[in-house]
Amino acid sequence: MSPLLFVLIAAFGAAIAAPVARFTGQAAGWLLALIPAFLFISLVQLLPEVADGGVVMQVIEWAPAYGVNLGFRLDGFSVLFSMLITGIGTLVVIYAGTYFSGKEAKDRGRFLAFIILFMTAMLGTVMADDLIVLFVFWEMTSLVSFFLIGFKHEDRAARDSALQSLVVTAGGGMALLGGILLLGSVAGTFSLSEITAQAGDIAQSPLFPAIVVLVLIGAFTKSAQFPFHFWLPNAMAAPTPASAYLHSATMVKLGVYLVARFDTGFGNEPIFYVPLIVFGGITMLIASVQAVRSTGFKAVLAYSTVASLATLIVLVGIPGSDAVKATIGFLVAHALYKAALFFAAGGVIHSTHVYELARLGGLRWKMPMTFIASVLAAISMAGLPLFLGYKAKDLLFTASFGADSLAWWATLCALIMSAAMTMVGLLAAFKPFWLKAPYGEVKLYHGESFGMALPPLVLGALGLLFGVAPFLLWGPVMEPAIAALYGAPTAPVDAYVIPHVDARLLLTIGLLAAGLGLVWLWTRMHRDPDSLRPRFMLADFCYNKVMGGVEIAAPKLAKPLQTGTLRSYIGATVGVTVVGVAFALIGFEGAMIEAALIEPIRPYAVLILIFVLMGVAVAAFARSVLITIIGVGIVGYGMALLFLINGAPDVAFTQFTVETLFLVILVAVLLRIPLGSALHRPLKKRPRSAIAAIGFGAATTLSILAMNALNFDPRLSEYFGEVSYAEAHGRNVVNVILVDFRALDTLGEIAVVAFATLAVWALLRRRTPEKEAGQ
Amino acid sequence: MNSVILHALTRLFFAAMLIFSIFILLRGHNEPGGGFIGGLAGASAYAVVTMAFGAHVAQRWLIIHPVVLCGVGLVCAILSGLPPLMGMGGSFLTHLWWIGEIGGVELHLGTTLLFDIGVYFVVVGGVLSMLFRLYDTGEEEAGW
Repeated sequence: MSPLLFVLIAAFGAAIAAPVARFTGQAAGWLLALIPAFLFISLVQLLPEVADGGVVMQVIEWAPAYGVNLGFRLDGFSVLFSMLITGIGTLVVIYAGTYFSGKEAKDRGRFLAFIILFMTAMLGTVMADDLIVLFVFWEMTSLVSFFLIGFKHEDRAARDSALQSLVVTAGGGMALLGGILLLGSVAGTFSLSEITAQAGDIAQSPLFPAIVVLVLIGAFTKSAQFPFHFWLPNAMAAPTPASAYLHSATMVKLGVYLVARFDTGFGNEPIFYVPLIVFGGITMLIASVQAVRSTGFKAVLAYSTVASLATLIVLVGIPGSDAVKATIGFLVAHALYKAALFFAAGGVIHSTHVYELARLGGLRWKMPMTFIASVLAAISMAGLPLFLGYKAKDLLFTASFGADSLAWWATLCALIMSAAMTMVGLLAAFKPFWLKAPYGEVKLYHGESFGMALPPLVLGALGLLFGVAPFLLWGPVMEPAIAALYGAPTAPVDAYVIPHVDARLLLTIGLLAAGLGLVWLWTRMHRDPDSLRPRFMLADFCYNKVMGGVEIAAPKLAKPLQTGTLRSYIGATVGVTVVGVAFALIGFEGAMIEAALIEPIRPYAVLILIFVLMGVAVAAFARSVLITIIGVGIVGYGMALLFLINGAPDVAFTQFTVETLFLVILVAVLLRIPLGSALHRPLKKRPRSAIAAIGFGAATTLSILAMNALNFDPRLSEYFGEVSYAEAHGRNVVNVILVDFRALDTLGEIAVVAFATLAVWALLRRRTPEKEAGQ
Repeated sequence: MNSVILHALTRLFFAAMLIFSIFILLRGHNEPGGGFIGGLAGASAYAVVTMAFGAHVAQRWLIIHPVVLCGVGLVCAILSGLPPLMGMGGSFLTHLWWIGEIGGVELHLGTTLLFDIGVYFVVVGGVLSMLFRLYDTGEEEAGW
């Protein structure tokens, strides 16, 4: 299957999700899960093709004039990422179908459509080779994330969080676009593989530091790295299936994906990797502290996700093949156990309606499957032997010890992060299920359902399976990804099952003890109800200050320009036109009058002119605005007649219809808006309007006379006249230009019309009479 | 407006104007006309209905919501440009042509037609959104 086909099938799934959900009811999740499952199996079949550094390329010309192509490229790393996206996607769709089983089919359909649309965007991002294509899909993930976080749109907090995530990630997206454009101008191509191939030359460019800064801002905002880490915990306002999928397993890893892709080429440039290690480390520390401070079940998990993303960023930053191995190992291990924990958390919250981890307890016999899944995932997260998480942690410390520079910093952060991870894992697995509920027994609204318990069980069990049978994972899936990312073959990862009895085992025991200590600290901190109220968050505070400042500053800037009186807008337009024309005509040397007099005076034109002048007189001297409008209409019809007899039937016809519709719409506006006295404007108030009108008329007349006096260059019209029928099968040159030669321009124009229509529809909503009277 | 003559003539005018607008749309490639002008004419047909019977009746005659019609038009225009990307050669919006003969008349059919239909829909939807909102008396609130 070609990469584009993957994206198209996913897009098809998003399109049919809502109708399928409407007609199949509760089974919708299971049915729609077939689409990501099919994509996952297709990816497994692709594995042999990418095994030994193989690459599947697909390039379709998109805008060749700008060097932009629909370029897709599948190598070991993209296949691994795509398998995570579709594999976890399958489980998320099943889970979400059950999660929304109590809601209306409309809500369920909307949610499933967004989830599958998101999967489409993710697949597009990780399969793209052309950076412009990558950017388009990247922004699409931000947009879908916005809709999913704000899914409960009646809830103000959800809306605010959605907006915050959009401001941060889309703002970072703008920086990324800047970086991509600079990179394209330096490299002469937008193809990621070609850029990687000539990375050495690009790094010598004086623009390289700017490129790095912009790309890193893009990656850091997406992956919630310091100082942009605050949006991710707030994004937990999204329904849990979205949190598990977007804000833990896949989307937030795009930042890691991007820097990892660049790392293949630029990994040895200090200006690129030092910020990764430094900022990633800071984020690891902040997130670890915040995980201990947090009370909400999902908030604790969210901070542990931020810490894990930071770990991945640091690992990408550390040069060498050890770090690449650790990146891939940690990436997969984290995706499996974190998604499982989110699923389990969502199940518990769904059944109990309790959001704070501190309130939960004693659920082990009431939700046994969820409990087992959480324990499996938590052990992997704590990095205990026999689980995939152990191997990942092992690789992490091998890489951070062995780093050439900043090894002490990376190791220190990794130690603190691992202790905090152990705490989060233990808390998530034992606090809701094993420990006693501190504020009385937790009420259960319903028991666990199969559709919501199965996905975490599958993921938790995979963590164990890949731990005891590493050959299933490392050889076929991970090694190709490592090779693709490192850019060269590496020695295979030592996939032992029984841990070596050495310092590493000692480290594991030490971290487990530290984690247990933190669990004790956490339960102490969150024992009294006071601890449950929201805490002060510095980053959030700064964000709110900045956004508040924008809201205050924007109207101050806009008010002087946007006065709200139509007269001043028209005055400005007319003034600029008159001054502009006058400026252009200074020193004009053509013979205006002579050129105009060459044409004979035609009687019918004179008749039409008299007709137009009558309209002008009506417009200028009528007392009522309504009659003025009719006068202007007469002028318009007269102009249209002139166009008609001068061989421009298209323009004439358009003018006729526009004049008519204009009249119909204006009358409606006048009937609806209570203008009162403004409808009748006495003549003595009009001298300024007269000056403006005469000035505008003079400027237009002069410019037409000037154009007439110039030599007409017929090249364009001759060209279109010749090729219109030969190449585009049309004799109406105007229309052929609109729909064929300049079709992209027309597409842009109708897009503007369509979006303006959306705004018009919303703005012209009829208000209640009381409000209207108050305006 | 409560005028028997207007009401009676409206049905006639509406049908004639709508058919005429489609005629303008279709002949646009060779004779004066096209999606934009056709769309304006089509919108005028509905404007007559709006003035005679009110915005809600015109909305019912339109069947589809005007804002949705805009979206449909945009999708049509984009779809018309996609075939080259599906491996038929050329770049986005390179139109394809089918030349054949039906009953002795040589026909040139292209994806331009779909594009022009898209323009037609966007224009009709855009004008009517404004018109319906402005002529909305607020008496009925049938899912607006």
